[in-house]
Amino acid sequence: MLIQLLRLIAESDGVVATSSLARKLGVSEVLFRHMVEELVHLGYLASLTHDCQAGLCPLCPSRTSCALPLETRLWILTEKGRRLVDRLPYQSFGRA
Amino acid sequence: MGRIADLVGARSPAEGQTERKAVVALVGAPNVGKSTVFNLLTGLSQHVGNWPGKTVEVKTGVHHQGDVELEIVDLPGTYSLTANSPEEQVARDYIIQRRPDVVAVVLNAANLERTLYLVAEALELPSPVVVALNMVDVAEREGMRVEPEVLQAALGVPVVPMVASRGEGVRELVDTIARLALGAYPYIPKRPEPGPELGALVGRVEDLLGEETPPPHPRRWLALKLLEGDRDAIELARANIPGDRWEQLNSLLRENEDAVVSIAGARYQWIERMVRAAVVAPRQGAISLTDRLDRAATHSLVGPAILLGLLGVLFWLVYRVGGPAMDLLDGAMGAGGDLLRESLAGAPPWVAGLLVDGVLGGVGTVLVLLPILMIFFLGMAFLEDVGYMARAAFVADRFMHLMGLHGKSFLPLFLGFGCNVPAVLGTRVIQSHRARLLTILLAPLVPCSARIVVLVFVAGALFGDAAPLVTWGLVALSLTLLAISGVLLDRTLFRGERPAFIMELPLYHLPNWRTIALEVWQHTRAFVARAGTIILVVSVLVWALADQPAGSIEESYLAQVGRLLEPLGGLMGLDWRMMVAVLTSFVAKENALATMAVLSAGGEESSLAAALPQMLTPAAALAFLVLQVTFIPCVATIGVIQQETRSWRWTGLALLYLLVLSLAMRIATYQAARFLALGG
Repeated sequence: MLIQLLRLIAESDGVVATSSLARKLGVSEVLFRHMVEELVHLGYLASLTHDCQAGLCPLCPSRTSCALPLETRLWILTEKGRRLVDRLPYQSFGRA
Repeated sequence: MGRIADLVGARSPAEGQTERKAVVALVGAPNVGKSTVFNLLTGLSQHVGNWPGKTVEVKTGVHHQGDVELEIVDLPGTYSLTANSPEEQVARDYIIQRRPDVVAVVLNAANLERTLYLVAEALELPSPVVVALNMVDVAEREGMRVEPEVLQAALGVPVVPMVASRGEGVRELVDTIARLALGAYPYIPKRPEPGPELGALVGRVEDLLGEETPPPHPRRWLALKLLEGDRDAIELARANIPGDRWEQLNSLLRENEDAVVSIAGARYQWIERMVRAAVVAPRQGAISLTDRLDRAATHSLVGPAILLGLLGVLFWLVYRVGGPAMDLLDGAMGAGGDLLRESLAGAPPWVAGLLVDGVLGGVGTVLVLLPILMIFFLGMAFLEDVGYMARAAFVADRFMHLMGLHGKSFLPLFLGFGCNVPAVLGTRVIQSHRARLLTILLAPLVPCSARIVVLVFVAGALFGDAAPLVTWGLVALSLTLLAISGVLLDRTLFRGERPAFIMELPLYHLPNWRTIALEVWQHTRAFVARAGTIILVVSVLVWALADQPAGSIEESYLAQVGRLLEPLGGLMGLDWRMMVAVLTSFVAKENALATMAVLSAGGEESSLAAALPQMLTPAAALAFLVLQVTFIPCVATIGVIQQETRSWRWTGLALLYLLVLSLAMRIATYQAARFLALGG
């Protein structure tokens, strides 16, 4: 199921909502979120953070005018995740 | 099955009968009520100690159930048994090495998806498992109904519904534990099963482990952990199996380093099956409403239309509500200037000029913008707080992806609407050098809040009722230029991959006005701080250069510099004053207004808003506004572009590109507007 998730992300064209992927996988958004966290933990997905959260604000001369508080969470396929998806036609671990 | 088979003879004080003992390990994720269950079972008979060699606390206690003495061990709270933390390691080691007679896993019925993973792992271990389904009351309050009998059938292990906080279900739990410990309960667990290929792989690892699997570790469990890359398991295997076999095993593990994804995936699939079987009424309300709204808000065609529509409404509100307030403030500022000039009648003329024309004219004009700025940020903060901004980001990213931008470019570019500086700094999340450079080059084309303020003011002063449409159109133009530039640069200089990414769209909810007010306050404060620093300094400097050497603007140093640029300005209908305003906006965008205010001081009109129609024709105003949204960025942004690219060549290229683009767009706009008879 995690491999299906990775494959769905890799096959997506641009941004895709977690709710949409959860529906495609037939799981709740709560479970989907746990699956994403698992893949982040395993290094197949990476979480993108707002640059302020990434600790860049102290360097920013205009930090007080940084306007949009974007709390949306984003994840992207890592190189490790990409390699796994690319290898999939040659290596399958069954339906999981 | 351990200790229950070796029942220790003990005396029950009450009846003098032989008492049997069983050890029960209590495990569960944090905050599932595990400690409450432990306290209810053990009362005052608790003993607290540390796990040998660890600082992790382990509590034990005793509970008597009929003729069975249950020794309850409260293991540390943990979500899994993967040994990622000392708590997980202690829980795992205890269950493997001490082999309790029963493992009682406490679950949160309101968050089954989160807590069932622990059950999936516990079922791989030899001790029988009982599930304490706690917090069923909380689940019901949240609109969920979990059917314990169905979950029990699906899991193949006993499930006891509980509300531990009220003591409900504790007796049933103890009865079940005792029966399970005594072997009086049929125990046929339905473990997560790997697919056939993964199953075969696990079998190969088990074969290589052979008889050397170090006791008490179950061979299958160790094989799974090896395939999951578990360090403890790897060390254990390396130390216990012969060298040549270890080499084979290690080679097999390296070839299948991604097997961990399949193993964890099988567990999630199992969890999904359990939840689908046992949870009757999942939380639907808010999710369904969000889904319905998102069908439109994230639609490939309707979504952008909604975004553009909301932006239009926002600009309309800015003018409708903020406009009259700005006019009032403008009048008050003019009256204040007159009063100040009168009160300084006895002072040297340059003092009045400095304070009234320089400071009040420059900084005051910018401060007059406060009402429209506050309405703008109020609107943005409202959209963010109700959850819409994530949808705007979603729609915007699709737009960016079409023009060939790297998925990670989205976040920094989106930040650019606030300020281009964090947009450039934010490109650090992009690993690809080429994609990062492309994003840095494009970031200044995102209209920052300072540019929008200038747009709103000038459009309001010159275009009356059409101002919202003009402002909206210019923002759209800016984004269109961003798209075209992205496509051109992507097709020529940069040719990189475009990885996809996933975004969590939060549920829509009612606005929290306190949060919104705080957001507006922070931005307002930041704007006032800028007015009191950088804009004040530039205003005074512009006034001084416009006053020297002869006290006449037309013969001033500033006029001399401005007239050098006049031939270029003539192509766009801009006189030297406007060209100087463009120049000073290089320091900070709002300085364009402050400069125009200083240079228009002493005219017939009392404020810049009133003076602008005399200074600019509509065609020239359009050209000026196009320049504002496309001109080279402020000096702070250029500084970070150089800092981030570490290249003057790329910085120069970025500036040259923006300069050429802005001049070309501005001339084209002016000539087109003249053609459409908007005045020359």
